[in-house]
Amino acid sequence: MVRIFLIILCFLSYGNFNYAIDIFLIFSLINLAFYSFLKEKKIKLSDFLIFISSSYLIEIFLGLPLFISVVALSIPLLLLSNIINNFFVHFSIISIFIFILSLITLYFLYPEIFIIMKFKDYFLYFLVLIFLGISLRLDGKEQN
Amino acid sequence: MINNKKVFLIYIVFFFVFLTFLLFPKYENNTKLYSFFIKEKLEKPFSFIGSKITKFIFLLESNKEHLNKITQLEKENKYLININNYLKTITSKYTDQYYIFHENYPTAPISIGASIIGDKNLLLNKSFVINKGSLNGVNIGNYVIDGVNVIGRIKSITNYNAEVVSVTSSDYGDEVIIDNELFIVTGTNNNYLSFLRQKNDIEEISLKKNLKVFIKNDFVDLTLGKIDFINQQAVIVVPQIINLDNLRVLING
Repeated sequence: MVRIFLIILCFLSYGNFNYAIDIFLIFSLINLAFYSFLKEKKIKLSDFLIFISSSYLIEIFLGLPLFISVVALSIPLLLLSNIINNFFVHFSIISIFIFILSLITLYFLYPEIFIIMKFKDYFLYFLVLIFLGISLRLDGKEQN
Repeated sequence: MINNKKVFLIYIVFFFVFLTFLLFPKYENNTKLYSFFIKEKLEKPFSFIGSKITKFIFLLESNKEHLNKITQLEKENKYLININNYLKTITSKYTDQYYIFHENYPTAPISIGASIIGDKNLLLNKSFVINKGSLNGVNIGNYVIDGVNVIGRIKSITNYNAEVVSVTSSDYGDEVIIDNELFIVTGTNNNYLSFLRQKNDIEEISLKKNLKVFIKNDFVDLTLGKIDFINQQAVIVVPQIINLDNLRVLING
């Protein structure tokens, strides 16, 4: 529910603020998509739909071919999910992994942003990392 | 690997949707356009509220600035009023001069030059004709002058000419001022005018020789002549030297 709310928020907010916030919203959507796919070994339908919707918004905003990420990234991400979730890894490491994966994806989408951004601008992005960690932990408690 | 049938089914569906969009880009573009259309419609209430809030904040900030500005202007205004009062006090001595030059500037009488075209020697009946008439603004009763000396008055006019009765003619009569007293005088066909009566006062006033006789005019007092005595009878002697080539007719007199 929180993720759906965040997706709607990103959908409405994009384009209404400055360039840096727009990129941050894209980064949040990437995180949401990866988190939804990688958080469990056995992917649920709702998680998959959230992945589709968040990736769909990214494709719309960036002018990419629609549903290309669903088609192209689903299988590699499924493999990655199996690798991560088969080993017992601490949730904080998983959250850092998702964060770095999202940063790499953002780099491929916006290579110039890493030239423009200063070190202090990354602090906003670390908020996403914190929330990733918190949500993974809460999700783990729910499963237990 | 895909351990959920529903997820697999959805993946297949989206795979075919992706292929459709790839083969028919028009549908992809339409989907994007509809998405942005929905986004715009959903944004409207939020952007409306946002703009209202922004305006309200802007008004609050500008109100603060305006209040500060008003206070500053009030102080400045007070300072300028004080300076103005000081300057008024300093320049009050020039006020009279200001009135002379700007408000009570004396109006000059309007006159036009005229030349005699009729009897110049005044031999026949002490009247002559000038080359200015009603089209030049001349009216019956206007004074004909040489400098400030009265030569005569307009008796009759045509469009381009006027007949002037001279002050020495027996047809001439006028109201004159001598020593702030009004008298009625008339011409005698001689070089002097005789008194008919005093206008207002019953008591007789003793006239002195060489008193100037004026004719009251709206703008300038005209000179008729001086008091003299012939056989102990007071008369007004007109100036002997009159330049008839330099006559003017007082139009607004």
